[in-house]
Amino acid sequence: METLILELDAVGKSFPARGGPPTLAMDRVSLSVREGEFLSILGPSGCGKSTLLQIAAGLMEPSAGAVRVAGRAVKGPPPEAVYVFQQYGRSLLPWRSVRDNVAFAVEHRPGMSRSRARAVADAQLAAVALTGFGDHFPWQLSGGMQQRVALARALAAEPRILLMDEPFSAVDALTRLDLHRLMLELWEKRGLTVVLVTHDVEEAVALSDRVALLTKRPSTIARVVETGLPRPRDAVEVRETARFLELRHELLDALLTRGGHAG
Amino acid sequence: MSEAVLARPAAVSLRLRPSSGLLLVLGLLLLWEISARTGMVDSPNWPPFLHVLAALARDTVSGEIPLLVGSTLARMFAGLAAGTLAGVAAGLIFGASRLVRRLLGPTVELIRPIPIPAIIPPLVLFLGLDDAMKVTVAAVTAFFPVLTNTAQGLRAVEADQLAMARSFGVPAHRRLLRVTLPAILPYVLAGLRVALALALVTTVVAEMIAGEQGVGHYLVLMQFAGRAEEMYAAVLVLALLGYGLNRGFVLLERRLIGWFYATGRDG
Repeated sequence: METLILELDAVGKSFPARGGPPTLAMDRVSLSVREGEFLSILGPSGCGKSTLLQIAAGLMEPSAGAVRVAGRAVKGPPPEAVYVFQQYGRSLLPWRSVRDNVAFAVEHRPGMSRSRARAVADAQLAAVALTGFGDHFPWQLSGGMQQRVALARALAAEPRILLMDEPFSAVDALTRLDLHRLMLELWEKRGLTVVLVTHDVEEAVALSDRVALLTKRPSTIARVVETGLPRPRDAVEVRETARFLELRHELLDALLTRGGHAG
Repeated sequence: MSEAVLARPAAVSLRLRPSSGLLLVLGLLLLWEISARTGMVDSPNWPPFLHVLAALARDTVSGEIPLLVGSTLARMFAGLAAGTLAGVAAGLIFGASRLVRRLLGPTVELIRPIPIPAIIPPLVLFLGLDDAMKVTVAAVTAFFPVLTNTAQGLRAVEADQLAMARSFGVPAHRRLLRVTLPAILPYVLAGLRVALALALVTTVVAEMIAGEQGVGHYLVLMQFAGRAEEMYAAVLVLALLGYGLNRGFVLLERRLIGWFYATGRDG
């Protein structure tokens, strides 16, 4: 059960700066993600959480260190992982129907017929409670529904690991709770591994098995906290437990008082 | 590469309301008719509008005008197709490579403002008087607006959409076909709409200047022959053709890129 699905080994990232030495955005980030766990990467805004996730997804190259997914070195997006974008509105294709947006995840695969891709899409839409919306266009749906389309599309690829970049930050609070419940349900049902990037402490604690705390730039991992909260869990009810409040306090404190600095 | 090119195409209303602009059109045609009949304008070159209509009907029924229109449109569309394909291809390379932009940008900016009719005389020397020359004229007309719009559209493609496709393991050629091309289609069509209007002009001008083909040549021929009714009939045909082409194109645009207008991406 202790299979490591994602390993970050002393990953660093620097960006070229005009007329000076490159800016170090990330420094020696090491993190191991176990197969089947729900892990959140928590950090203040602008600490490079998205950068870290894109490196893990093979969408960006690290300047230093190594990334392995399912034991293999990452050189481009690995088939086991799918990346879910923060701005669902920008990653959905507006000229495609909801169904065809979901089908996009699989239709390029060898031997996949158009009708089969659509059947896959319909099944995934049902899993995110969007049955009957296949013929709509994304821009006809609410923000929460659009994010569920993006989620259905990610699930259609049957990834072992979902890399999610603040996927619930652009919707209202109630919709967010709704999506949290859906996310936990899907994670439990499908035995997924989820790495979620967020700046929302409550979201991180409520959903995760472990929370990795990222510092400000140059960012590195300050500590990793086991939540120890029971499974299966309800994303709303868990917020009333003593352990949740304790963790919330502890992590907020760490983010605020230390300003997210390592040490 | 102005933003105005991307503005929503104005749909000219043809409904008859008291305020309708169509009333003015009818009024002007009536004035034409009266001025010719009553001798307000007394000239063999100013026939009554109804005589022009009669000539138009006659030559339409005889098949002469449909044949002329068909040959003009065939050359124009052949040129448009070639120019658009070349424009999209060049625009993609232009938009994708800063090096290419730097190398070829000044050349393009120098050639682009040349009025297309000005290159007809030299083209005649190389390509002759007939189809090859005229199709080339239409192609060159379409090439530049499509090129600049394609290059501009490429910069408007969402990076997230391309990264999303990469994350799903979609290969590069398919990303181009299924993400980039649909995303830039509104821009290409905006260029094509400009090209369409210009190509009708340049094709007809080419026909007027050289050769013995199409509506343009017919127009000049009738002028030389002193057959004013047929000459005006040809002008009328061109007016209707220009209007119909634009109208048809706007409808096509609505069908193809309804999402673009629905999402308010046209600003």
